[in-house]
Amino acid sequence: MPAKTYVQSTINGEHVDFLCEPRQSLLECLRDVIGLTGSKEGCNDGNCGACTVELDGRIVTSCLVLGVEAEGRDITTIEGIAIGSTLHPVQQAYLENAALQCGICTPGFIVASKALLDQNPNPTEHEIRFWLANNLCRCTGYDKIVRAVMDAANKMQEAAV
Amino acid sequence: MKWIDYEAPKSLGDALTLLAQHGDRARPMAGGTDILVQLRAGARDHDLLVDVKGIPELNEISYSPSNGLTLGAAVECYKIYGNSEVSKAYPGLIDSASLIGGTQIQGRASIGGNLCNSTPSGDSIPGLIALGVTARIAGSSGTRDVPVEEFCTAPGRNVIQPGELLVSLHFPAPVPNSGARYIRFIPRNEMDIAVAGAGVSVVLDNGNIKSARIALASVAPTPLFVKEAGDALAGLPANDESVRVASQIASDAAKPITDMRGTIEFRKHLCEVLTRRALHTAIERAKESS
Amino acid sequence: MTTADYEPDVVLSTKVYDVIGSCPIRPDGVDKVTGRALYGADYQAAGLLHGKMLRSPRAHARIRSIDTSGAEASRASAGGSTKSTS
Repeated sequence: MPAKTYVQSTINGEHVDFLCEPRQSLLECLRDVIGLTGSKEGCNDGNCGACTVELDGRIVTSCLVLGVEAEGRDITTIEGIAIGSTLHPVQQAYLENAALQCGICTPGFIVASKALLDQNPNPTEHEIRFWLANNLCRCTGYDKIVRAVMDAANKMQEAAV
Repeated sequence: MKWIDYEAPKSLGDALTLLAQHGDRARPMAGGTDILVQLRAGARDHDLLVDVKGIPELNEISYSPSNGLTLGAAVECYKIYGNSEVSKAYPGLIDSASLIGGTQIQGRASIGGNLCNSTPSGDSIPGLIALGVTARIAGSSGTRDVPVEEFCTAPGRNVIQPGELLVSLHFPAPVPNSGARYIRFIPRNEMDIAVAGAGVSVVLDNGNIKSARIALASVAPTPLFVKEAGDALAGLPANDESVRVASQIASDAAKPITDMRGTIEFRKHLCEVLTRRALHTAIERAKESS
Repeated sequence: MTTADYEPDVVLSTKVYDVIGSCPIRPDGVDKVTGRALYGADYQAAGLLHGKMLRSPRAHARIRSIDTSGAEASRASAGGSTKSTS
């Protein structure tokens, strides 16, 4: 029987090690091997963004990253977005702007939104829509999501002043 | 996915050894955004993935105004449009790099991978053809250079032989008064596969078009280099009338099929419109550059 | 009230309501935005049976027969149905 690979990585700031087969995606490892079920599987082919995580500071669809590629890398999942027990302004904005219904797309959207604001603290609506193009939502119609991101951007800028 | 082995060689030599050893049972993997989907669907079948992202030559981005650009085959799209020198020198390349997939895909996918995937709809390929890019392929017997317009041979197939690896793409140094542009038609605003696409480049000389290159996506078994459309522009004034002549030649040369994304008639119409619009922008860019 | 009768900004009531006009945070919202909410596929336990749909490779085709021998031989199979629905 072919052997599994031993992988060591940093996930949400903590050292995590796990065993996986080379064919297992990072998404599968996060959900089924490590038990971080916050990242969701929507399409398993990079189209829906529900599996979005940050990998060394860039958002990626974890369904198209292999678990073995996590070796030595720094990963942030939805479970790592809140700052301790305090919600991140993006999370708070999604709640206050009703930017979620069933919530299955929400983890991917929140990780992607936070990454946008880390890079571009004052995005235009156009920039938000195109940055989030790799995330699909069947419930909300996107409008409240875009408003939530703009709201979060405003709140974060006010807090920074 | 069925069981697959994984290796991540750290040198070009090691990668070539692995590829020579396993032949077509091995497949190089850069961003993985095409190959993993294909393996899961059973569209491709391999026993070994050779992760090439750790090989220095495949991660190179070196640009100089005199030598042009050497772009490693595994360089991710975000690194390309994140590089201000490259963005300034090759806006046509940035057109493609910034519209393949979405933000997350661009965090992993590479232009080299898009070329090696070799679909007729590959959004980087018409632009590479228009810019006169050559592909450097390494194998056990050395390296060879292939112009991108000769690279793809059939849907999903190209000139790379078992045991070989695409190492880098070479972009000629930008010449003064040149401009390039890639645009495509898709049903949404982003994410889709091109129904048709046009990649063009022009070099201007005193209000006339000195030379032009035009290539089309999704309207033939491979990305289509329409040499006659670009050649027809040589010596013509850079105006609407000339652009229409070239875009009609491009449309006539297109050999699309009717499939779920579009009909033959629609795609031929799109070729004319997209080539025309791309040429207008390329001409504007050429006027702005100097 | 027809469209012709519509008067904008008419105050219908000056009472303060508990729910109407409020913007509550949905009760499951915090769990959903933190990834803590457990959906069906997130639920893990020992001894779970895993089912997988086998879809027809052809749309609108007529099913002439289904070969279930592979599934039945699989150690994990336990009383799966081979009936097609619809």
